[in-house]
Amino acid sequence: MARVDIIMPQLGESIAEGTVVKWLKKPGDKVGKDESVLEITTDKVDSEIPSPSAGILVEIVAPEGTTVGIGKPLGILETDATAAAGAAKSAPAPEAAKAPEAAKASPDVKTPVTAGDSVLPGAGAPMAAPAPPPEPAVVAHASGGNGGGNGGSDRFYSPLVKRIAREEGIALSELDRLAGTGQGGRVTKDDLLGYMEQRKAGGVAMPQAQPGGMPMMMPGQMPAGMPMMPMMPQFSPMPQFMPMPGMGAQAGPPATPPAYKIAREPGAAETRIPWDNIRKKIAAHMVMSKSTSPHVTSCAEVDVTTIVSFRETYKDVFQQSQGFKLTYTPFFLHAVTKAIQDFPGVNAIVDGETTVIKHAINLGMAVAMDDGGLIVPVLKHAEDKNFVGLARNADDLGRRAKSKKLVPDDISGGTFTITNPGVFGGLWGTPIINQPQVAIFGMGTINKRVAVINNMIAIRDMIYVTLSYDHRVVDGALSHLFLARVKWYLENFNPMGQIPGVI
Amino acid sequence: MAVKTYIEALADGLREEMVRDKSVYMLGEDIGQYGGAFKVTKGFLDEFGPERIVDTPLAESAIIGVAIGSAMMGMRPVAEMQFADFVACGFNQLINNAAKMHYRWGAAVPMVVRLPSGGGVRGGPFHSQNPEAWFCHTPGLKVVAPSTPNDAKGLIKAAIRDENPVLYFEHKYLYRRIKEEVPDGDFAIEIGKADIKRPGADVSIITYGSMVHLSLEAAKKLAAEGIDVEVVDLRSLLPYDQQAIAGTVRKTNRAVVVHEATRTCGFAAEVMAFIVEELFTHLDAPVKRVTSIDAPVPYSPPLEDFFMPNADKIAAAVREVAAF
Amino acid sequence: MTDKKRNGGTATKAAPGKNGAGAATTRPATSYGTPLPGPVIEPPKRELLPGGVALIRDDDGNVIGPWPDGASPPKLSRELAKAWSKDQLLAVHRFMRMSREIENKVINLYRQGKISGGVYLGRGNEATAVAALYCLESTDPVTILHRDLGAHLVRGWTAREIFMQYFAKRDAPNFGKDTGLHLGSLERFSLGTVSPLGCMIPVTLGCAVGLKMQGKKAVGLTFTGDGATSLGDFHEALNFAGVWKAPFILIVENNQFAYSTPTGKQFACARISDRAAGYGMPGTTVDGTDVLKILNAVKTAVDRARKGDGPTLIESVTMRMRGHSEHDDASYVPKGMADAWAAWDPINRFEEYLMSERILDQVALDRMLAELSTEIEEAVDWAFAQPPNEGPEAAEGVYA
Repeated sequence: MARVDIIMPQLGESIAEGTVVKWLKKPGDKVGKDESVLEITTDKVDSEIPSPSAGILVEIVAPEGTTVGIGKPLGILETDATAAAGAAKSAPAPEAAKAPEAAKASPDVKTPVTAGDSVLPGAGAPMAAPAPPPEPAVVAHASGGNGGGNGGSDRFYSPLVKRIAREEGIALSELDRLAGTGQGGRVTKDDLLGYMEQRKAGGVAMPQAQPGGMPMMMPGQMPAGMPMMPMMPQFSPMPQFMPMPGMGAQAGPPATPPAYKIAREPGAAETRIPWDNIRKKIAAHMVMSKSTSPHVTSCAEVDVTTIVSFRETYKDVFQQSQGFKLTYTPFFLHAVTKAIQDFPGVNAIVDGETTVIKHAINLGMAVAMDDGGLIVPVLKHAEDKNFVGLARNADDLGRRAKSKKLVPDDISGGTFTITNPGVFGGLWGTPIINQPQVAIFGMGTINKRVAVINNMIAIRDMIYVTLSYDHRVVDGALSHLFLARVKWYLENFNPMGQIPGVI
Repeated sequence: MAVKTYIEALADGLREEMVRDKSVYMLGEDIGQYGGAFKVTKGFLDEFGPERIVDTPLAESAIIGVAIGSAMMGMRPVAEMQFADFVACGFNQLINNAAKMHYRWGAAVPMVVRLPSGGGVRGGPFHSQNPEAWFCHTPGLKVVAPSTPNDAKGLIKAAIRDENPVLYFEHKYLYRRIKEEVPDGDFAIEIGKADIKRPGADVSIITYGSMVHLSLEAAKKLAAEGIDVEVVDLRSLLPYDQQAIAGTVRKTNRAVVVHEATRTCGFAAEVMAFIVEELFTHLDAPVKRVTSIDAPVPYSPPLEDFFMPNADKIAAAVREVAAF
Repeated sequence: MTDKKRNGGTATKAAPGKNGAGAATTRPATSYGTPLPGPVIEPPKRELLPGGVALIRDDDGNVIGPWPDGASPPKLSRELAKAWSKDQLLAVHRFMRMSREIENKVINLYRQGKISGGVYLGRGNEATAVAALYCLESTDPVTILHRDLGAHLVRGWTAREIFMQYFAKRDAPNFGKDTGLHLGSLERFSLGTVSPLGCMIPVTLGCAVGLKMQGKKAVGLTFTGDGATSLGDFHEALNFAGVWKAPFILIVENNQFAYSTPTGKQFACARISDRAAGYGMPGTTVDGTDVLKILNAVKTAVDRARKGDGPTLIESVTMRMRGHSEHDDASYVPKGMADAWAAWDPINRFEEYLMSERILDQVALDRMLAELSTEIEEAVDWAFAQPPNEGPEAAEGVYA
């Protein structure tokens, strides 16, 4: 036995209710399927209501004269199970009420803030319902031009500036202390980025033109490459080693890469690692090189601000148009090649008591492998290649070196070697010559440092470069002249024509 | 590779598709004997015959309706509205019929409606409109608006090959004024993909159609002032390339949206809504738009010039945004 | 020379080239004052019935419908029946009955709250709906309207599919996304109609044209109501069809009322088929409650079209036996008009003919009705048990 409701139907799109006019049956009466049970009236029609099933009318819920909303019960039937089987099944024609969970993706859900990433509909779905708005915390707080939630600050910060500040752990109170170069003194993205660089170096907060696009002419400023006007510090420099709250200060130093971990037997005083073939080769070469060539190392300091700025500006376009990443390497390959052409004496090998000056410039590039090993692929005939060509070759060799796809020809025939202790954070190095060559060039890290230009303080991107040379055949004068020439080419890097189709 | 004008590239695209696929045919007013009001289909009647280049009576609704029916039966019609302004006479067929067939009963309607649109030609209120927004608001339709000869050719091919009704807005001002190298042979441009016409770093202009060229003009001016503008040509409006918009706004953090259509509820409103919704925390300045004013397109030259955007108005908006 | 006498209107045309002899120089009085220069053709006069309904006469000048004073319908013609076999007549009859029984069930379901939105029925229209489709091949493209359920049945749609539509189920032909009889299927060459009536006329014409371009000998057919003949698309499409001499048939189902608007307020000409001449095609008006007359008219038109002789406009006159929809009480229909038309019920008229010719007897009829009832009950239960939509499906299928 099952109970089935007789409900008020919706007779017309705009109809919301109906009124019971007359019951044709009374409780206890038998009713056949589709037999008329009552009469109703609406604004549009009068109608008889047929019974949904065969059974007995057990209850009148809406007596004559009552007005009932659509979908609400008018009366109740008791039916036998079989008759009720189909009709008893849930709802009348589909209600919109059943919105499933997926459609409800509530905008109140606080999604975790991810650096820079918004949730976008997939490229293939034209105008599909967008995902919930990202970073609602910011949206919810945005109000007026002041951007609410400022913790009491009256200053306007753009959504971008606030996000960067939040991600970098810079408190709004700190932002408040910055001078802004934007309209009305507002702090722009560039202002904030500039401040962050200073803070990293422990220096003074000063607005400056950032690498990353043509600087905009602001009153009181001069274009990049020109010295900055000196500014009084806004506040005392932070002590170097006090970790800033929220600055990403972790509980300790970064993790050790796996290649440098040493396995220990419990309780052992030492771990013995027999040399494998590669280690034996390296050891032999290092001893041989040092005992063959009297090593001396010269050093030069180079201002690479122009190069850093160029790279920032064009790295995306470069990636797009050339298909691979633009690193600093090709700039140095380019400068070194030109300097070698001016001072070929460093591009030589020793054969007995003869110095053999090589005319081909085959640059070996030391590559550190992930497993802790070292390999030196050779970029042949650098003198024949333009900037993009050098970059492409270097990228290709580096990639193949890391994936162990070099062939013997790739690692032979070098005439000069370049190494990069800077990639591990080294300020500068005194590398060992790659025999039978007579010189090896090393590059340190690029750091922002205070420099003096025209008797004024400037913030510049600086790097130390070194040349270890075989003092049997290369004198100090040659090495310093060579380094000075490399420095000249780097500092006077001319971007015009370097990336065809772009600049 | 040859230098082609916008109209030549478009005609090449149409012709190549007609040769490649016999189910493609064209219908519209004056397209056969006369070669089309703008001569897009000049010579087509001789080449393809009256069965495939069909001169119709003057009835936009029937033209579109017939196109819908024949498309459902396996043809690929390319219907022409002589001026985009007249599509209003066939609006219902597009909105209630073409756009809804697949949703309602799974029937694809692979048809193209070509709409010569745009002003600057002293055509007055009924020969100059840019009504794309009416249709971008209709799910089930696709809308494209090429700005260059390459894009014109690539997009007409893509439109013809698409299984859905595609509205192709060809800007009449550009027909003969724009030319560039167009590769020979078959290439189609994916509908829904934008194109960076000028990479830049400081401010993004997001635009389409004739305004691409004015934006590039403005960008040149601004480069001399030290403002490096990136010009993104949307090319497709429904669907539109949200990834490209995200990429450029993330890069420059400042955006100006430009279109020739009138202002209120024009397509810029959608782009700006998207930017605010999804890219808010990448904005270092408010987003601005440069559009025609809210009025019917006026006829007299000083009125039309005031009505429409130009390179100076675009540059001024970019300067404002750059200086914020 | 005199024009063919039609509907009581006469006109004399001036004979060219003859000097006075036979040429009528006196012009008949016109209804618009000063006579126009040149030949004058008076349009046929119009007659109105109570309620503002236009009185329609068939091509022989006979009044269609219970006029005057509840006139009874004439018997169906054995002559016309000769074109069809007994089995064909019985098949037509079964389709008509099935259509009626399904719709009776739909009324009950609607009043039981099991169908949402609106319900629009075609009681009184069964002969036109079934006959029209019965004359076509299964590969002739058609758009069938909401009052032509019988046409859907002829084209192969089943009762189960019809009830899935009414219950707006996920696997219904319209996926729950459109209402009632808007179902369509390309395999069945049956287009899903739309609510703005008249707008599918150019689309169906387009189907016929598109198939002709592919070398097929298909004939396109669609229906429209008396109301939609005022829509631009009606005129644009017929004009195209005439100019292109397309293989196309338009059946106007003149059931006297467009919602509450009587035909007298809908058009100014005497008969809708009079417009055909304006589009360069033949037009005919038939009694739509006489299934043999409709069969004959459509068959003739189909043969014409398939031979390549072009389109035809058919006006089929019936009565809308229920309101515009089931939530319309049709109080604008004059008292007694619906009852008078009840005698012209196409199913009753046909069954009377079939019984009198001993093609059908009461036993066979009862058996058939029982079978239909069982089939319909089963279809309702089955369809009702099918899964409904899930909300996110609303976003699916927008694009091909």
